[in-house]
Amino acid sequence: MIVKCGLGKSRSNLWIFALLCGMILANGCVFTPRDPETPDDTDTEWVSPTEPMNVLANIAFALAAKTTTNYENSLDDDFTFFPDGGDYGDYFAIWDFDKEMKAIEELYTLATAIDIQWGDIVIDAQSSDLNILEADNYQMTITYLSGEQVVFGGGAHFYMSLSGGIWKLEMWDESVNTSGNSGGQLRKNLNIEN
Amino acid sequence: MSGRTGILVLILSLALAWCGGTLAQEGPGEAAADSTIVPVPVDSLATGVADSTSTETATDGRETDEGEFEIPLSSSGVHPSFSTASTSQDRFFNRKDMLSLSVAWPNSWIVGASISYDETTPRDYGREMVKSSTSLNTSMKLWGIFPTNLSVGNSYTDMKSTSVTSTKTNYTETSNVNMAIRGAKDLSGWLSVNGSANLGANTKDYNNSDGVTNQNEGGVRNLVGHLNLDLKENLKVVTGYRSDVILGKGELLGVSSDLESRIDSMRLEVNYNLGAKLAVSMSGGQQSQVIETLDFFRNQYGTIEDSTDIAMQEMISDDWGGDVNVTWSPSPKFKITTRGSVKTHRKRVANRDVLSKDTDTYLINVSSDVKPWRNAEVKINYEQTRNLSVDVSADTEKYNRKMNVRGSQKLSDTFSMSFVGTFLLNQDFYANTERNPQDRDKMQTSYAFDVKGRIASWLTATNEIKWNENRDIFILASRSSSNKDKRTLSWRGRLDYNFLEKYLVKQQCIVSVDEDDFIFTEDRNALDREFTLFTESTLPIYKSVKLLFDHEFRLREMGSYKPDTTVVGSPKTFFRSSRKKTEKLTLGVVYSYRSYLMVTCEEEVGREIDYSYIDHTQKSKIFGNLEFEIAFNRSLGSSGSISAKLRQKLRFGKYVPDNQRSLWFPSLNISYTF
Repeated sequence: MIVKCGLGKSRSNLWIFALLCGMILANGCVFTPRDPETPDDTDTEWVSPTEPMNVLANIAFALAAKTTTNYENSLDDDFTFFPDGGDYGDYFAIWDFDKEMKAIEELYTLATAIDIQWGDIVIDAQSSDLNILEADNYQMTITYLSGEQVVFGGGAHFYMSLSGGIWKLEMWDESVNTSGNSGGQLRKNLNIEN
Repeated sequence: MSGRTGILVLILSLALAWCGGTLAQEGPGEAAADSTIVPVPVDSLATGVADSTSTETATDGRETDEGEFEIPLSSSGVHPSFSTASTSQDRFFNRKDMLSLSVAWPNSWIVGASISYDETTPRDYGREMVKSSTSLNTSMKLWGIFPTNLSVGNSYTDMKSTSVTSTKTNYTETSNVNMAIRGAKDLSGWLSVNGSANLGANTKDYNNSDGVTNQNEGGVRNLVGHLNLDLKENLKVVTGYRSDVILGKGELLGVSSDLESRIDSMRLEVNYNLGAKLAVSMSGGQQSQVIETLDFFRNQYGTIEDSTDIAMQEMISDDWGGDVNVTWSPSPKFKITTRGSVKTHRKRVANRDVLSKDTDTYLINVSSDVKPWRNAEVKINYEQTRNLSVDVSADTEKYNRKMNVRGSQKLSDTFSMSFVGTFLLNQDFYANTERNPQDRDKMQTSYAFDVKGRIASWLTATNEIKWNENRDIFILASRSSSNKDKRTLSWRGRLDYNFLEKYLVKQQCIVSVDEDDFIFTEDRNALDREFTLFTESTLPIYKSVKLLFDHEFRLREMGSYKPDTTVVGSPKTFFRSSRKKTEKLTLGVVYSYRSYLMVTCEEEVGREIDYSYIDHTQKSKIFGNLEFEIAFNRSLGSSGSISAKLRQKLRFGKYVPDNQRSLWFPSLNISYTF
């Protein structure tokens, strides 16, 4: 049985409906972003992530240039950060893509420069689409607004997954911590809310 | 109430909410201390009686804990309860045991005890946690009028974290005794009061494997009062006051100090119904806090430099908030609701300005529900938030705007169509863009349109089109090089067959195109197009046996999508770089031996072919899984249950690591309340 879609007896609300339609059409004015400035010469380096090591290189470039876009383009949607057991706690119960990006944005507001050196990396090719990169002692040097430099780092396993010919970082696993200030400690200090 | 008056009230409420946005801010500001930035550490070891219970209040001045309690209604007798759950997956293992006991007497005395054990061992580190608590709770009516509650409790948490290089332990024990009394009285037909008072004492001990110990002990006094005025049938006013005082002594690594904390809050709420078509409610509140704690001195990065440098820390904060809600419904076919709210927060930490922060938040929300004609409905919601924040690291202003439009139209008894549009814009402004060049806009626009319905008694169909655009725009030249637009267009068609009410077949086809458009670095532009076809079927062949048959075909092509300079006008062109073809077939048998025992066997085989258009090479791989599962589920009387599952997964294929070829996934859950 076909139901009629007539206007019914009352047409008094039509003007309100028309007003709402006008609001929808006018939303283009409200939801217009600002025009960005043309990039200066300090273009962020980017290497096509066709190799797992390129992902680490892009992360280093992104941190150095303090760009979030290149950092998040290096992370898999299912990204997870696992701290060292010594740092483990409820704070890290869920540390996913969104939380990592919040932490990075917070870090960018506090630091004037970030330099990360991955050190010696051993590649463990688990399969054609999963490589584990093992860093013996990576070091992230952060220069805070005060000018003081603090080094965070330690040992870590970086789980890289391949999808669509592009490698991305799926898990940052600080399973062995040999440094006083670990990556987990850095993230704790940023005090990211859920 | 005329429509014109309604509109006036609406505008007034919006104006009230908006004018708050012009309030001047005061605070430490960026210039106050360039060299002091302290993110508050989450694992603060700060000690203080202020972290005792029942002091939480909302930042908008509303009380979150009204101090209410109920006379326990547990049936008399002894009630032990037990549960255990163990799961294992690959190298992850988790076990949780819980034992609790409650004893109740007819006159509402209840003694409770519980102990739980939680163990997690993911990969190279593990965690064990034992929690125990005991409590005594009783309630009675003093003089037959005032409900009174007395509770005594003790609890401890013992946690151990292990990694390859270290083992750390944390032990916390708390004890408390608490007495609360509540009263309510109707003073006249239009005026009533209610209130509660709470008096308690507590102790807390903490120690960890790093040799850190702290103790605190103190008393808690809490008063809550409300005055309710029913001035007219359509006008109600509620006022409330709450005061918490916590006095005590804290000790951290042998350094002790007297600590005092206070929290005071007030609240006013007015509800006014101006006829059936218009309702107005307003509420406002204020809260002030002084919290004293004993803590290690931390540097600007939140870390402890000197474990002997211990100091008393005082935090003073002041919050107030207001909220106006107006609902106007001139006809059953039209309703509009507006809400405006203002919140301010001022926090000062003595001797540590770096923790000080001021924030102001303004919110406007307008939502409407319109039924423009028969069998049609349109819902529109718009929300705008403005957040101003001042602290020593960055002065920021954030705007969030979101609009959601939902429309639906019933076409017939069995067919309907719907539309959803979402518009989102988040804007971040930093006062000092030289120091914080993070000015950024994030915009999202999405549309979804679908038609679905039942074509015949055995066939339903769904047709859906979606378009989505995400723009991530850094404003400043130093950050804008990686700006990106991501656009997705997809179509989904689905058919659900139900033959003879038992043979179920689902077919789904998805076609999608994803484009990454890097505005200023076009070399990185990428396009990804995908075609997927799913078929799922469930075919019962006997009353306790059914066959499963699933098939998936996926074709994906990836490449760059950038201007082709060899063509006049340089149109954007898709240059394919790779193609991936995946086909999977799953066959399964499910046998239900009894309602509580089920055996499943599933086999999946698949083939994946990767082809590179760049060097014209092809890689193919064949993979598969064979899974067996036995599941047992049975209730143990009316208050218990047991479920156990044992699953083995065998994986084969060229690229499956040796340690992943045979995996076991056992799980066990038992619970019982006596």
